Amino acid sequence: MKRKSINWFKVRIIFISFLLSLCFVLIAGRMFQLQVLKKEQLYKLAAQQHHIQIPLVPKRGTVSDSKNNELAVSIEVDSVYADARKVEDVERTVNKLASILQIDRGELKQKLKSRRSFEWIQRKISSKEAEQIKALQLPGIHFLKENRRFYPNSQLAAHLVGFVGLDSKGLEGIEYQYDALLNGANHVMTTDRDALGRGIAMGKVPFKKEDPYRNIVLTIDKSIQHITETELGRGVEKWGAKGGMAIAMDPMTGKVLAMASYPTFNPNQFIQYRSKNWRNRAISDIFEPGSLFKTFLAAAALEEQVVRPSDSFFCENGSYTVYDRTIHDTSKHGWLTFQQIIKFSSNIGASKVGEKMGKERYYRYLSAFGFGEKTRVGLPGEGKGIVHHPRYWPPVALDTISFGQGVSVTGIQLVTALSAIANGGSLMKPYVVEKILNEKGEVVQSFQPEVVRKVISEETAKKVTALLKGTTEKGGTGEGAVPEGYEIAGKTGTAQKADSLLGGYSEDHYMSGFIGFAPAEGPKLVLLVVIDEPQGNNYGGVVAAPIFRAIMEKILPYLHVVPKGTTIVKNEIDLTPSKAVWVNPSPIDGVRVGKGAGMTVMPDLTGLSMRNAMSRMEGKGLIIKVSGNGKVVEQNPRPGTVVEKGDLCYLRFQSPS
Amino acid sequence: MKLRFVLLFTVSMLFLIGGSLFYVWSRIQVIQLGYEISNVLKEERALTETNKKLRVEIATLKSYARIEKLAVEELRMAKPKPEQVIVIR
Repeated sequence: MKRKSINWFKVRIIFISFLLSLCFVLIAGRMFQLQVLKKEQLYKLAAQQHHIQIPLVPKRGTVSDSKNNELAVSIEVDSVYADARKVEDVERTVNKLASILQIDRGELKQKLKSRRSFEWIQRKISSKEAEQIKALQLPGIHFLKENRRFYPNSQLAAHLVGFVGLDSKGLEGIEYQYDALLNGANHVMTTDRDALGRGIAMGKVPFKKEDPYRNIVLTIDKSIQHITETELGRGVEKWGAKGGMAIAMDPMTGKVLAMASYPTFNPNQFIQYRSKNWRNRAISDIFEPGSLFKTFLAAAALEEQVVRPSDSFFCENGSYTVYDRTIHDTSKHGWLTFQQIIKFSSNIGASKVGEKMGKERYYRYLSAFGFGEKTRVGLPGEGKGIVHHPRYWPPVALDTISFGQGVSVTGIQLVTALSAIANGGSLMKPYVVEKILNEKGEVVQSFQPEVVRKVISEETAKKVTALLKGTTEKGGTGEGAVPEGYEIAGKTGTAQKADSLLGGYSEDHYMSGFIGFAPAEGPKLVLLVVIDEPQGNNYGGVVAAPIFRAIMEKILPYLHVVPKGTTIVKNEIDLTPSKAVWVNPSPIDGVRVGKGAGMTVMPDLTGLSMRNAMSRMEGKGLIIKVSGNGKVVEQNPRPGTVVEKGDLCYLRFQSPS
Repeated sequence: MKLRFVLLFTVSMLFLIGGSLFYVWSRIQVIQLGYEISNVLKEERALTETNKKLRVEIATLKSYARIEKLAVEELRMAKPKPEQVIVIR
């Protein structure tokens, strides 16, 4: 039997095939292990190596005024820190850093020798300083991006806007009140990197999600705020006073247009100022309003028809004893009408009107005007003043409260209450935030004027306005508050300050104030000016009224309220003829009637005959004086001047021959 | 018959090699673009920040306190009196 020869060739093939299959199975098994069984774990490991996470500094929203001027902005700046373990030459590093930054050498040396991996050297340095340090390439010195709050207008509206601390936390004002809305969340951007650590975008492009921060738009107008602050500051310095406040409000809506306190501070370096400078006096300080308060007595008395403006009261020749107190007037008066009581600001007269009102009724109006409760203007630290219930009034209180002693109010309360008189009787809720925008600039929430309650009738409001106009007329206490060419309704106030040490009233510490609105007809602006402890003089009419005038005469033209005597001409060169929006409603060619209430424009009468001239002037209510005859050769006021009913108008005629 | 087979084989190999090369090229392109995108994003962030800084600078320069000081002290400007004002409408 022939032994079957073994086919070694086949055996080898089978053997090698088996070996290869085994390898394949091994590889496949390993692959299965790596790619299926350990997949999650390995993916994570890989991701750790080629993803980098860039922490994005939380953004903080912008605070801007009603015209979109930025008042508070956050930008990224560098903060320097040291990894002390990696610092090579401590001496050299200290010398280099101290020459660029304003820091204490000893302290820095200690930090660098601490062997800690993280030590702040200085936070929020300027970009110039950062560049210089980066150029040195010091080992162990690193940078982190942080947000720094900038107030580009420095002092402007500092009390209102407030400021933030080192860790982007609002500490005062709007920054404090709306801190949660303004601050965005901490947020991380993830991107891939290669073996060298360079960033590389793979797969999903890491578009950054926007932070949910909000921007805040205030009702404040930067121009009005600037004027108010500058003039208030000048006034306080002129009178060597301890401080002052001013608030401007749109009476129709309750929008606060400006809010100023003095002394002021620069929020960019708030830490360098004393903390009392940070206080927003306009809303937090409470004070006795003094004669400013007679305005509201008048409103209450007229609404209740207790008195008429023409009713007379005997003013006791300047000294009037009620119970244990004697009330004095600054100048002695005999019989005065109610109108004159307001005009000359007689305390005795006001007391008697108050007595006629009765305390319950008077108190009802004071509450209705919002005294004794917060206005909810939307700022931190608002005071609510002190107006006790009449049950607790001592017997003399009705008399003293009638002229503003024995009650305490805040500035914002006074302005809000006077706005109610200016707008025809509705108490508006004051507000400083107009709208809240999201990061894209879309409106998230907007605030509308809100009527709190109707306090007095429109008719009463008109009567009070007439009384207040009286005080700014010749001989009135508020004469000095009237800018040339305007009519102001307002009231002066001088109040002795309560003496906190000795009790009772201080002899030499006064508060001088003026509150009013303009124009008296169709008011655009209510303004309060209060000066705290002026030196030399303390009458509201002398100290505060001129500041009121200075502010008003600059703001009113800005609000398009032109003074009497302004020449108005039509723009002859019409740049956009196709877009003629308005049709000339004026009866006179080339001149357009101003929008102001009751204002007319003087026509050009030159060359007209007397009959033609007269027919043109008809119905304007002007008092016309003529001289000569023939054709008009001269006229006063000049053509285009704003004139009002009752104004004098001279025309000179001359015959052509 | 054999020739046809060789031809078919060569062509399919060429396709295979060509396809692979194309694939590799496209991957390189993707990575290149990835770098570019990453750089552009970084640049965008830096530019946005610069823009913001410039806006702050503008706002600082537009501060009324500064403008008023320049107008009054350097340019000797003054507030006009009411009779000096002519309103053009």
